[in-house]
Amino acid sequence: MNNIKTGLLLMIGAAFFGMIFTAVLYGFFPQYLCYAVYDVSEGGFYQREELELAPGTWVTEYFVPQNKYLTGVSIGVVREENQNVLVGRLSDSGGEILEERRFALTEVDYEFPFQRWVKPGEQYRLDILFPEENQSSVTIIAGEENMGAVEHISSYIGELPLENALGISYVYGTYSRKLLVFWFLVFFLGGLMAGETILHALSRKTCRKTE
Amino acid sequence: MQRFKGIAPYITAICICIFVSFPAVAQSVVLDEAYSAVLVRGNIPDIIRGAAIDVHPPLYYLILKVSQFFGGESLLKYRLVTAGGTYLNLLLLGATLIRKRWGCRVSILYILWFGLTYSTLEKTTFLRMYSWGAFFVTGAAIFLFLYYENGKKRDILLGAVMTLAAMYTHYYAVISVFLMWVILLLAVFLKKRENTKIVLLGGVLVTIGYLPWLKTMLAQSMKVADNYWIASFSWSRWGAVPAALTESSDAPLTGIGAALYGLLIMLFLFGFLRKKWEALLCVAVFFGTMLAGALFSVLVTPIWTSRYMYVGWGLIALFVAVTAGTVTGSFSNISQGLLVFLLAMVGAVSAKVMLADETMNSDAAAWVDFLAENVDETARLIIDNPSEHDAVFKYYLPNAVFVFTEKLLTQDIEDGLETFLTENKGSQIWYVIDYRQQRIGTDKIGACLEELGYTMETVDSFIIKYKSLEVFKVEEKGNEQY
Repeated sequence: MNNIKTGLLLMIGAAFFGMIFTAVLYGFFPQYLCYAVYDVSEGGFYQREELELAPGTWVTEYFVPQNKYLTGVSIGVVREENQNVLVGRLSDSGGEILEERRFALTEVDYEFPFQRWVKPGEQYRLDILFPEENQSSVTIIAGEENMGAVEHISSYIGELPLENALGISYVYGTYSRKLLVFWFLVFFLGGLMAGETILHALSRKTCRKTE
Repeated sequence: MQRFKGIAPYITAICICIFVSFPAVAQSVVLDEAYSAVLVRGNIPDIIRGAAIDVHPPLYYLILKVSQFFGGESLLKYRLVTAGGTYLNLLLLGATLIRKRWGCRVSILYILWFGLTYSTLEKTTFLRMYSWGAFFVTGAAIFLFLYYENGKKRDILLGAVMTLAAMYTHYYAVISVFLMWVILLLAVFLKKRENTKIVLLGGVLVTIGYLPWLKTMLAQSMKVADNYWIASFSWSRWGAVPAALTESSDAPLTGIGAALYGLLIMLFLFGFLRKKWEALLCVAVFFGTMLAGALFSVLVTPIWTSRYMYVGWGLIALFVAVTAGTVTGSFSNISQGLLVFLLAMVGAVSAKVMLADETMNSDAAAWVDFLAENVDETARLIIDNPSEHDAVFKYYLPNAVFVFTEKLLTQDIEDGLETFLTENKGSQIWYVIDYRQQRIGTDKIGACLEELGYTMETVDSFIIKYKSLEVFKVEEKGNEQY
């Protein structure tokens, strides 16, 4: 009877532990609810164009996301082993800056990992800034206007409209609430094992006392 | 019941072996795989020389070569021979050695963790040395541990053999087995001093066994230090390796990987609290290998890529299995059952991801058929792709002649192209562009061909893994047949 009682308490404690941590995850770390399969939307250019950006210049891309969770925006940049940095600033249609991310050309992925919820169908603005402090120019890839990703609306270099579409891939996380169950089970298992470990330690202590 | 307990790990292992083998039917061959397949077309001295010029040891290629003696080149056979490393890992190590030492529960948990995580599904049939590397490293760890426990000379001998095999398979395996021997030496020196001499002798034998390759390894290290393709080192990526290994190496970290990483951290804590020292030693070797890779990357040149750490994935599986599987208590069945359920979920996700991946979900079969039906064995191909990808095209068309547009570009393009066309008059000529990594584009090459009196007609397009290809037939104006 005592054993059943302990077992029940252990399960309730583990479930509580699991629920608390899953709720925290749901509220504050939605990026960890992304499913492993990604929906990458990219253009398929027949003819690549290369645009050289001097330090202090920027390009702007207006786009309409197709899915709810934007993991990142990957930029076609000619790979160079230098410390040049590109900054990506994501704003909504009202001009409010939502996220700002950066990468150096020495990094593996040329991607701004925004990791945020977006509204499919609404227009967003991405400013790709090439700050003054960079030592040399950077070359970004563009292509035919009609061959860009489906998200593409228009592009600008500085204030001037660009005739090409930028070589941009939109990476979406496929959000799944099923992952909440997975996380809950992991935390539940953690709680269960923690409880077992405590019980194990307590029983050893009791044994020692009896001895 | 007792009898069933004995065979349950074997049944589990066989089921997992079948599960991890389904990508063997894939016909997409990516660059690294093509490199392996093309290299083993040579004779054994050529393979050893080829491996020495590259950055890996030769044992895996020799295993493939041996398989080639039985029925020639076959992609399916190569994939199954590669999977042999995982089969041995699950059956010989998981269902036999681990079961004998730690019992059925640990054995089954080992098999499930190792076999159902995505990296195993991805690497088991991938034509590289990872599955064999993981087998040798885990085997070395188990035999050396058994020697420490029982002091049987047979174990240290088998441990030394596994160590040497691991060292001839992958350089990250060299780091792992080196750490194992250091730990073993320290352990016997502190606790079983009478065995120190044997361990030292074993170490000397391993060193002697590796001497033939040592010079090559040093030369390769210097070559790598000068120039290696791996992008700069990032501590955040490095730290995420245990999670990355539960997922596709191509995708960024997602919820599943993060959750399993969380589980590993929790298990590490419990292992520590419950004093599961042998499990913690597995983590120490894995983490030590990671650290060595990171230090080399920071101090010399970046050599860090998460998939190399797969050679130690069996150690992590053993750590998980021993930590969770050796718990005995009134409620251990519940937590172990839950872990099995979680791993079954991981397996289902792994299968789903693999089925959606270009390994399985591509036009590779149609591409192979197209080549067989339409392209002459000795055709000439102009390829718009980085020239280092030549192995991929060589794999599919062993006797064809390739020229890469980026090579043509280094000369005056029209002259280069004109020379190529003149030299190959009368041959079948194709132009193949990979839209994901093109160098010139169809418009430019089309204009050049037009100027030189040739036409370029699109024939078909295919998506194979990492490549989005369009094939054009190139013919002299007036001679068009297509």
